[in-house]
Amino acid sequence: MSLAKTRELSPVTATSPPRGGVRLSSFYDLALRNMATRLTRTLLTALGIVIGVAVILAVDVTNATTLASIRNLFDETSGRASLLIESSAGAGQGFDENVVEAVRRVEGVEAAAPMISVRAALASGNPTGALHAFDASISVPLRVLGVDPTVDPQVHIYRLLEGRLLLPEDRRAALITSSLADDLERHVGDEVEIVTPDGTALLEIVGIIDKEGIGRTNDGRVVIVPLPTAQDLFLMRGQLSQVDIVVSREMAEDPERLEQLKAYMEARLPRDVNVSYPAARGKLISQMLKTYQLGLSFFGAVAIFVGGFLIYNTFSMTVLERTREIGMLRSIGATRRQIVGLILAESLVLALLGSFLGVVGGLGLARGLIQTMTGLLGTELETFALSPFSLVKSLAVGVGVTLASSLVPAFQAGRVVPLEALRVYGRPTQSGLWGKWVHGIGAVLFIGCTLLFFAEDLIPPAFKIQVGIMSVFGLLLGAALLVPPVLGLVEPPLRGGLALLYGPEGQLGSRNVERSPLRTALTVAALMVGVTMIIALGEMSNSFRQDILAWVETAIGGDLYVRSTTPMRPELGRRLLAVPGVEAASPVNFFRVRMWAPDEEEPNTVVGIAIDPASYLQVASFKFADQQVDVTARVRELAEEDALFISTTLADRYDLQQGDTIVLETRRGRREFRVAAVIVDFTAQGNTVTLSRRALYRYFGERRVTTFTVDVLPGADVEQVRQAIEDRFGKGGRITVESSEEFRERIIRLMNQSFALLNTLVAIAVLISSFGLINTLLMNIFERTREIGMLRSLGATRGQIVKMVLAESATMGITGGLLGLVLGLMLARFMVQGLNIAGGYRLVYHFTPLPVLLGLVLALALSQVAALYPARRAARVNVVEAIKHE
Amino acid sequence: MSAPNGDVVLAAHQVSKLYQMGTITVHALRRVDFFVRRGEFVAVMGPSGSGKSTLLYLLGGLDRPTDGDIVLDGQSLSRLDDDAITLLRRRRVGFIFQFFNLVPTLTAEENVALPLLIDGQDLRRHRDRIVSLLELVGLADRRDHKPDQLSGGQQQRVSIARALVMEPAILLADEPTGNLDSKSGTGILDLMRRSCDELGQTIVMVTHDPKAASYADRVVFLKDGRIVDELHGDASGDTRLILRRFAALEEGHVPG
Repeated sequence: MSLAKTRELSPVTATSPPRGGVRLSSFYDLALRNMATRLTRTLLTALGIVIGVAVILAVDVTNATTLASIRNLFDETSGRASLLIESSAGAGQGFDENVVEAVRRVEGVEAAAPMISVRAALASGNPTGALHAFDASISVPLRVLGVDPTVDPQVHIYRLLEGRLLLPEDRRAALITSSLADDLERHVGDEVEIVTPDGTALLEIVGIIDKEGIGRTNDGRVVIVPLPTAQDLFLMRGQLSQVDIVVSREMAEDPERLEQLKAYMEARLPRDVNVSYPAARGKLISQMLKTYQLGLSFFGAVAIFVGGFLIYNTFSMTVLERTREIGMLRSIGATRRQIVGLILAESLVLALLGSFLGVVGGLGLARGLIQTMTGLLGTELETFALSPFSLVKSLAVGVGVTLASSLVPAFQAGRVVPLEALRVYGRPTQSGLWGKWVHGIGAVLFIGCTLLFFAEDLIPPAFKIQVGIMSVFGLLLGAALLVPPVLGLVEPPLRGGLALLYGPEGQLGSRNVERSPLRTALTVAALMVGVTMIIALGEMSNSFRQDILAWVETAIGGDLYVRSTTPMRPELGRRLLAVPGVEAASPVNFFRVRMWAPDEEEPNTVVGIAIDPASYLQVASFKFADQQVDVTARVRELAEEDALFISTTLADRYDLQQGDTIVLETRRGRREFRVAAVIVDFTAQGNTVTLSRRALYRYFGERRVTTFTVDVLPGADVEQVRQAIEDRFGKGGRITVESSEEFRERIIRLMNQSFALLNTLVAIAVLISSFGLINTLLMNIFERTREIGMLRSLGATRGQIVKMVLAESATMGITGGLLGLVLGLMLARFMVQGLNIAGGYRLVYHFTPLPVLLGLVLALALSQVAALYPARRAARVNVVEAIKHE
Repeated sequence: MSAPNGDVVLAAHQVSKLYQMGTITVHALRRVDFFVRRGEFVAVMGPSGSGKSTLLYLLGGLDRPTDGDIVLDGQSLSRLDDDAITLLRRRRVGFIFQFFNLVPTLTAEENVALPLLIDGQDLRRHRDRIVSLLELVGLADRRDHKPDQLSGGQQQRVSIARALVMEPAILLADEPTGNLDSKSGTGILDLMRRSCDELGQTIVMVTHDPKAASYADRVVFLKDGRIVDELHGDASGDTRLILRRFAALEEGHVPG
């Protein structure tokens, strides 16, 4: 009888650990010990949870911060004011200054501070920015405030750092903020030169205030001058642009009485002004950010989905590897419950670790996101709004998903019988969960969710977005459950191809995918999700890009945009035509206006676009929602009657059609306008109405122009024409000329910025799924150690074993890629549709081959790269060890 | 076969075990009667497929018989549910496996303490016992080593200490020397003999090594699921006699 060979004695390191005795105090400490031993895997497993939790928290914090900051900003800059009077024609428009006296006579009003607020520029500055697509900016290069020196400090908060505040007798005096003073390197006693409609004006800096209270206006880029000075410089004699009202304390704290006062004043004051609450001003902006935040939340949810899969996969691996150990623990008296508890304890530690790291990462990510928002909004977001609810919510999601994902492996571990301790290698685990009925559920989910998208019209609008997101998840889950039959369908034809690539061992490897259906299905599903996201996001952003660019091309049109910091005289249009190379020039104005849709109580602030229909059609055109529309008739109606064009966004939101009427608040009170047509417009995320310049003058008293769209003669050099315009009119930096090329680049840059974060999240999802692939292949090899040993003993070379593993992985990669292709293309359509619903865009899906190609190639490449390490492990299986036992 | 007399710790009454392998039914054990007295060291021998391992699993409550009953330390296993059997295993049975089955992340000392941890006991109260067991198996100076820093023989010593830590009524060993060289194997067998002689530990060992079997007080021979022979007293210590009987079994002769 031969005795077994001696086990090699591992060298005992000279520095063996100190004699600490037993450092375990409970059976469950084994969980910690296990995780510490497999630290790399533990951390990688936690990654999915970390990312999911981080994104969920970051999106919450960013949303809250943005809203709170906008609210704060308006609160702070409006100081102690409880009510605000502005022109009915929109913020920044002028009204009669006698309103102040009327307001002061109203009982309950303690102080009323008149103000002029105009956008301006520093003579040395570089004015940019206009209301355009994606431009949610609430900042301008410079804002000049004209205030009443005696009253204003009672209403607004001034923190003087240097010099003095304004005095009633001041004329060419100004206060600037410390941040502006730093930027300009100016001190008290220095002068600052600003651009005015008539040229420039020099003002003496008499005081420097902190960037706080009124100093926060326009993110600190503000110059405060005496009211008469501002009225003089900006040609607004006898006019005001706003009045801030402070009421008695009891009234300020009683919403009902304040509302009564507001109604009373509205009834008494002239029709061309309206009374509002200061905080209401931030509303338009928060509405515009919604779409973006929705997209982020969705990708956060996908990260959690893939993260949950990774946890399942890793725990299955852990349980499989430790089957013998678990069997031994059962043999020496551990109950099933203790074993389940042991795995769940591990999972709980991982959940807490992952969620904690996720919170840390989320706070970091939130900072990055807030930075992006700061860029989009053009103002600093100071508060960091972290609510306990968001914290608890993200932690709960992290812990919940982790525990739920490890439940199945934990119960599998509980089912390990003590006899497993006596086996050498783990048996292949075949889950009983994976019956035909699972495929049935998959098919029902898949078909059901697909139908839901096509039955979009039947879903109440209020639930469309929620239903949409749920059905995307349903679709992904359904497809995941359908992986095994798809594999059965795809594998046989693939086998031939892999035989060509890897020889007969390729065939053998490819067939191996049928052996652990659950594990393989999940791996393929994770790859599928990754590829789906790549393709869907790629297709969607391309559709977005194409549509926006097409819109810029047709609707905005023109080759050059001439803008000014202060409105330009209409005559400039004719003078522009005299510049050599200019073919046409059309004036356009952007302004904010309140509108009421039929049967709506609450007004909505939208962007009004005033055009000159005749010249506009020379430089641009309209993109009508209805293709068969009679263009000439529609444009004539716009030009000659009280009519306007509305965007598809507004048409969808309020269910408006051509021929309906909406109400706008004008300087002459609320006026009805007929909807002459519905057009596609991406300006200010589609919250626009388009009017004629005639209406702008008639109802809003505005003749001046904010932008000229210039068309260059065919053959003329755009750059030369631009130079000529700048030379002729750009003295003192008042006028800037942007080419349509630059404008388009700016939009694309903004778009890329918005998509960059989503792309990063997708990249991480792909990374996680390839880690899942490595894990699965390692598990398969571990289970088949004996078989691999047998193949080697039969004469298979290490190279052949490597090829076998690569082929198996390739089959999974290709299947995942193909499924991802189908789902990705479907999802791209649905996401475009979803964006149309959520953001009110009117995007059309355009197919682009690049993302599809990228997704497929990536899936195949990943499958091969991820298989390298497992293949090496398989090739190194010790033949004798593998076949000796059992 | 002689009737049990004295203090019986473990008994199998008319135990049968059937396995279903596809369409074939395998009779691993056929109506086996078997008993072990307190303080006795019994070896079970038999060729591959004789059912000796199956018998060990049934005796230890790792598996359930198809028919018949096992009485362990006065308790009938057929009346207990899985949790109760697990508890009985934990407190009254010690296992020694062919492949040691130590937890790789734990030190030698922690592996020994593992059954106490599973039982939820406060280890501080058992420190002396753990230390004396490590001394008994000759590994007091290796207590902080992890399994991969120990030789096969040393690992098996750790598993013996682990099996003894709960002061079990019975120690079950499944080919304890099967994966060791002869020198380490001898050491392990000496240790088991000593724990029987010095601690009065009852031991059942399954083996197909006559030399290992010669350490036992009694050798029971199994073939085709039946007990076919038994050696007592001095005869059980005679390796050559055991080898002859064993060879006869394998050739199919059942001596009288």
